[in-house]
Amino acid sequence: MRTDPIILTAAFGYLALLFVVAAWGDRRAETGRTVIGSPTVYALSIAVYCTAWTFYGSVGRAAEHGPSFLLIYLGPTLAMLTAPFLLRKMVRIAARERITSIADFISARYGKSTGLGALVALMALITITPYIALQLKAITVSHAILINYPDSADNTLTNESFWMDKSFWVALVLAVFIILFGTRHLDASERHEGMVAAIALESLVKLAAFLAVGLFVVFGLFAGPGDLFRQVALTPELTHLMSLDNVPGGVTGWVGMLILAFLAFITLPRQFQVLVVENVDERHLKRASWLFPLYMLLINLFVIPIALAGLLLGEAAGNPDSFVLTLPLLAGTEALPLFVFIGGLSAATGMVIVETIALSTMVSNQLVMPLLLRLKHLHINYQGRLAGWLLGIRRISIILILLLGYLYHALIGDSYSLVTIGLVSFAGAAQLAPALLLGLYWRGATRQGATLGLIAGFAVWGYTLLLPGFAQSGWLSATLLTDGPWGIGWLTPYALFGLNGWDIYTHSLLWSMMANVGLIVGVSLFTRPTPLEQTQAALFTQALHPNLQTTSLWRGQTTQGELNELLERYLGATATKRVFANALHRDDATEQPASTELITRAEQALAGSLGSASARVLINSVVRGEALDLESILSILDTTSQTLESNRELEQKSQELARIGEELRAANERLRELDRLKDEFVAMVSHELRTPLTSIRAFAEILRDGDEMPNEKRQHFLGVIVHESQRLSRLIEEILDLARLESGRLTLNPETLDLAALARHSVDAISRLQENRGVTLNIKIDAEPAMIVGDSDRLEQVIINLLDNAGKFADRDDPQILLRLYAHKKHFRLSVEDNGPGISAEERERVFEKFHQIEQSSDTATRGRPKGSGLGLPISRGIVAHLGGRLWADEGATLGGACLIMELPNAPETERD
Amino acid sequence: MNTNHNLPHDSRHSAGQDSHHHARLIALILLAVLLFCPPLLVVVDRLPGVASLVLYLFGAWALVIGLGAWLMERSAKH
Repeated sequence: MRTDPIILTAAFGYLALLFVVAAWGDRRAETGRTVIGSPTVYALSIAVYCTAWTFYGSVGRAAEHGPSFLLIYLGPTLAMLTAPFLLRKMVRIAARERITSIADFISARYGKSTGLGALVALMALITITPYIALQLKAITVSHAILINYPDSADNTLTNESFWMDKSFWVALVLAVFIILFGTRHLDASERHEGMVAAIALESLVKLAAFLAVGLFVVFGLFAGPGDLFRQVALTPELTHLMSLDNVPGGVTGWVGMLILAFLAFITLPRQFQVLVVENVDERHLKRASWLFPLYMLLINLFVIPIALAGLLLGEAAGNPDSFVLTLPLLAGTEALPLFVFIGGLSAATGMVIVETIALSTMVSNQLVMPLLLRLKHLHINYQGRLAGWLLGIRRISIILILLLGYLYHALIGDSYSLVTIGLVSFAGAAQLAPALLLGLYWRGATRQGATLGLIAGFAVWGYTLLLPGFAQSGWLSATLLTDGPWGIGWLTPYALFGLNGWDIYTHSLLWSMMANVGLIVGVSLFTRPTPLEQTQAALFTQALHPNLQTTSLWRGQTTQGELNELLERYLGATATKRVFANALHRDDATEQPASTELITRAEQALAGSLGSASARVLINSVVRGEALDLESILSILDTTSQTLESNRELEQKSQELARIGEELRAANERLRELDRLKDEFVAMVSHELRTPLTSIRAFAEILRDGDEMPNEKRQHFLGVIVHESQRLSRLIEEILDLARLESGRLTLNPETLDLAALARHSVDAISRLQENRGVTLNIKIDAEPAMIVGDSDRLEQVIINLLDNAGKFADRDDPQILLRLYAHKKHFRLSVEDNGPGISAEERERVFEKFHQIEQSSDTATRGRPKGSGLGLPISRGIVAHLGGRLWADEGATLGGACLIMELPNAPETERD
Repeated sequence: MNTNHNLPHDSRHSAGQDSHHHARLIALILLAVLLFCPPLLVVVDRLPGVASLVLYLFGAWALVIGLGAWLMERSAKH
């Protein structure tokens, strides 16, 4: 069974099977019955993570470092648990922006930067090519073991020339496979259905092979796991193998490796390819988020038993890295080693296929295309042929990458640097994580920050991991590792700044991430992003926001013809037709301006094929007067600042509420005041009404009971009753007047009249009363006639009231009153002055309050003067106000007492005649 | 458990369910980190037995996967 022809037939037969499956997958896709539209196939394709390094190397690592190999899978388990947050976001962005690779993703996030894309592509190329070499080496070594067992594999390996090396031919076959199934479409953001189907199959094959060998070892070589572990317990040197002490770097090393695996799982180009670019439906992430970890658990289930079994068997089992193969060989089985070899082959080829596609896309889109676009003559010549060129570039880069990988393996295959390249690659790929993750969650990360962070992180990684690897391979002086460069101790690569005792990967991760994250954050805080960067940052960080607007952010003019020409030149006629499918097919369509949507579609189509940075450059070459569409930008920013906005609105509302509350409080205050005034008024009115009523009742009772009362007395009492009744009716009349005034129902009969005549008439009416009081009444009329518009009865009532009041308050011994009438501007003023004590300034307005006089009544009562109702002045003021005039109190200018002034406007000319 | 399985759910309903689902997922991630990290590992490592740490790791791993599957598939039904 172990002759070369059989092995080669099996190996190339297996590769042929891959071709068949891939072709079948592609044909199904063409007829619309996709085979990869299932979450299970998606999860299996993610299992490309488990490479030959896993297949053979896990056992080796377990045999040497105990459980630390598990960290390579626990990290991705954690990463897959974040799928609904992190991976879903990446998938959604990639689908919308037509992202083709991780380099494209990072470049698109930082303003579609050509330079950043090229940097990431270059970094990926440097980190990953040795990793591809490692896979090829695994194929060569496993083949040699299979052929030469029980002899050592080494002697054939050293003597073979490259055409005898099976991995060379495998690489060649893979190149054909990748070119056939990896470059079917120009659009790299489209799914490679056939390839994904083949990868899923490969994942099943390697799992089955590993489980088969595991079951064989545990139940074939030993009588089950119990027996195996019993024997281990009896072997002193193995009892502590599986403890934490055996993990490099101990507890710190454990955590460091966990983080490293987590980051690398997201940033390894092949993982990005299957996780993000090849994802057909983001709902598939749900199934994959537990199915893929389950896959990893299963493929690792027997790693420790195999490692322990191999160690128990000692010398015969050979190198721990090949226990998987040598244990079945040792037992003398025939078919199983071949199956294991095929399993290892599937693990290696799966990785090489996906990694090469991812790298070739990066090389063509991020490195070659931008360079080609700088050659001006390309824009003019080669009409319609650039589409073919692009695929050609990608195919050549596939061959070159594989060749590079093979050369790496062939030339430096046995050196230390290749053996450790798995984890070194992880640490290198992890350098992309800060730019990626910060870019996804922090809008402030800028292109300059990301560029410097990446360069610094990569440099530190190179110094702390890559360079020491070279030194250990003997290409550099070994003193570099012991004494540091030029004997500078604190620069020793594995113990930078004297930090020793750490495992080398955690050590490198710490320093590189410090530099990387530190620079991204630090530089971003002090640089200003361009408008394009800002919008891309908003689109990336808010990718999962349900209201995110995805229309074009750019406004510019170009014709449909120009756009059509551009697309045809780069994408070919078919793809162009797809883009223009909905555009108008008119004769003058080429002269028509292209709509924003059409430009956006064209840019997306270009981005899917050439990468976002090149697409932007090309669109810029035909679109003129381009400017950011402010409205769209604002809407995007709106989406993100909606929370802020609603906060602001809420604040506004609460301020408004506070204001309204204040108003309500004021209104309430006023109502209370009015209520108090009303109560006061009612109390005063009842008091005023009761006083005459009481005396009427008292005298009436006396008259009723006193039969023998002399007639004269009876007459006097009756006189009092009549007087009090008059006072009562006057009071009621006044109250009614006041009520009418206040409710606005007072009816006046305005007519043009002479105020002078009215004043004289009023003086005559009251002169008898005044004479009785002994009051000297002087009249001084300066304006005659004083024509005004008013109600003569009511005005007379006012004037009499003023004169009556003045008489009451004039000096008791020599009462004097002065009535003056004079013109003042366009008004006439009538003032009534007395020589009494006057009204103090603060009292002057209060005398117009209802019943105000009552408070002073004690004074007047002692003077034996007739009391007023206290309603006269308020009523007078109301009447005057109704006639358009004013009534106020002032200091008496002539007599020194109080002076009440009534002012009424002149009658209009027409009415005066 | 959830009686709303067959009810048509409006957006508010599903949004609430979403945040609930996310909270559980975050709790699961934290649990996984806790289980896979040193403080607990050191405790387990000191237990007697050749493979106690290994058994613990696989057990914890299987538990996390099981809980993840349960949560994800439950939400997938909606």
